[in-house]
Amino acid sequence: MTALLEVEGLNSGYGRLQVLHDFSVAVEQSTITAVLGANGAGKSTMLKSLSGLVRPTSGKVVFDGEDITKLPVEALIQRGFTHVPEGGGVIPELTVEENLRLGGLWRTGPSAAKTTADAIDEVYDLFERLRERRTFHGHQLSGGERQMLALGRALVAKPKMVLLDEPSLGLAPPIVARIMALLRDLRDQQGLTVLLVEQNVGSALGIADEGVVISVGKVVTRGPAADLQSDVKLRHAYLGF
Amino acid sequence: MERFILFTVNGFAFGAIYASVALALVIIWRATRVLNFAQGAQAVASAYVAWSVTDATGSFWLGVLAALVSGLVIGALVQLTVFRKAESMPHLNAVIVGVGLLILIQAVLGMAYSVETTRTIDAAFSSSKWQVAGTPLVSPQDVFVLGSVLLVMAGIGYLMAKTPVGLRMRAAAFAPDTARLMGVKVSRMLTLGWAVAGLAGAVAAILVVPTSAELTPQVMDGVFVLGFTAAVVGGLDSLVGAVVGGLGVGLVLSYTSGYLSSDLLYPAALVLLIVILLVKPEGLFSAAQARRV
Ligand SMILES: Nc1ncnc2c1ncn2[C@@H]1O[C@H](COP(=O)(O)OP(=O)(O)OP(=O)(O)O)[C@@H](O)[C@H]1O
Ligand SMILES: [Mg+2]
Repeated sequence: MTALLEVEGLNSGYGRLQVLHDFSVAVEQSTITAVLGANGAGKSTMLKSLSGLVRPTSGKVVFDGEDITKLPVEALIQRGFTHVPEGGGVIPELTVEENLRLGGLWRTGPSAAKTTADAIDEVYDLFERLRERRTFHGHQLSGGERQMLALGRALVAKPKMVLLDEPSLGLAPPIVARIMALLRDLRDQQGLTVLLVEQNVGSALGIADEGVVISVGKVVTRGPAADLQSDVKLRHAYLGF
Repeated sequence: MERFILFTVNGFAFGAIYASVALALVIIWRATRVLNFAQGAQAVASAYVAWSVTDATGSFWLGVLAALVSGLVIGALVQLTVFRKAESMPHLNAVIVGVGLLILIQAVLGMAYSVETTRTIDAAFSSSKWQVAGTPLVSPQDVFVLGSVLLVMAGIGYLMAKTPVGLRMRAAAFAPDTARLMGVKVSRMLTLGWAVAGLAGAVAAILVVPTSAELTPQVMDGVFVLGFTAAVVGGLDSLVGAVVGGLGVGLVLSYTSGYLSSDLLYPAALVLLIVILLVKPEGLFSAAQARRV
């Protein structure tokens, strides 16, 4: 079985600053892969290099059998590939509802509006809080509501795969647990594939199938999530606890 | 009382025109953080298109239509050619590019249309006021000016707030990276924004040129300055602010020049600008407060 996402030998950075060195990963369909690493390890840069917000200098990104390395960023969502950036990328000037509608704007054809409206309804069912706050603007939301909105907006697109950059950032443990449980359910029930960047090692490895640890832009170890979780030396060395 | 009514009506009519210019500036500013100093000159170019078409066909309304279309086209072309690069440069570069384009457009118009001929654009309707109980109230042209601007504003407002294209445009303006991740073709939305701004500018030109003695390449210079004042008063970031700012500036200037002296028009605008910058530098309706969160 070939993986849904295959990344090979990615080098990337900002101008002359190379951040990511020879990064490779394969994510199987309907699995969650957690990418862990300290602050500044290059996790966000890695995700941005996959979605094209940062252009890799070399290497290859293959998604669902198609080489997407050089595709424009805006061409990805219609292929079922979404990236929820660090902080969520909720647009503060737009309402909750408008932010959600953005997730379906790429659809074309006569049933597009209906499909998106239904998808938004499903997101409201997942997060009742968002339904109550549908006319609020992004800047009026709490951190947790914003993360729900960011994730919900990605789900409106009904993606095959989502890249998530620290969805637990700044959230209280119960909300983190809720988001993790939701990701697990989406994988198990809808076959969603997830590449999950997290600082919250315990929570991430708790739901992940595979784990990858990066340090200073290089992969230092990878393996089944359960193995990583019990590797105390590794934790001390790279994750600081 | 009669004078008060006159000044108020004139204030609204001119204010609507300033609002139209302000709207053009705001649409571009909030999408690209570029203050388009060539907006007035672009609008004049549209006015010349109107004049040429009317001159060739004899139809006033065909000229108006041509001006509106040319406003869209010129706006889009200016963005695609001149400003596309300037958007990612420091602010000052964009200002210099804008001023350069302003000079270029005025020079080209000056060369293409010889000064020997005197050109005018007629008002669409009569400017003599209807009397109500012996008091001159509003003229058909006043109604046309206000109605046109309100229509344009309602149209732009509807486009921005209620349509999928408007949502794309706003997303592209506020958060280009997020918009792209959502599949929005950001550069296309920016071009569209410039086109819509060009349309608003062309409307202003069609409405204001009839109040001048003659159509010249510089005819919009003053209106641009007042439209800019209106945009700053409204907060540069807000479409509603542009409209309120435009009407406010129109009224203040109409009262000042009416009750005091018409020499005070530009000084009064300057004072208004300075007062706003001192008291509420972010303008009356700025979204900056929200953005900072
Ligand atoms: N836009 C940028 N321009 C230049 N350098 C950058 C930029 N963004 C990040 N970097 C640098 O790249 C390196 C990796 O940053 P990155 O954001 O990928 O780390 P991260 O693993 O996501 O960290 P965190 O856990 O704090 O989010 C850092 O040294 C950072 O300073
Ligand atoms: Mg990061």
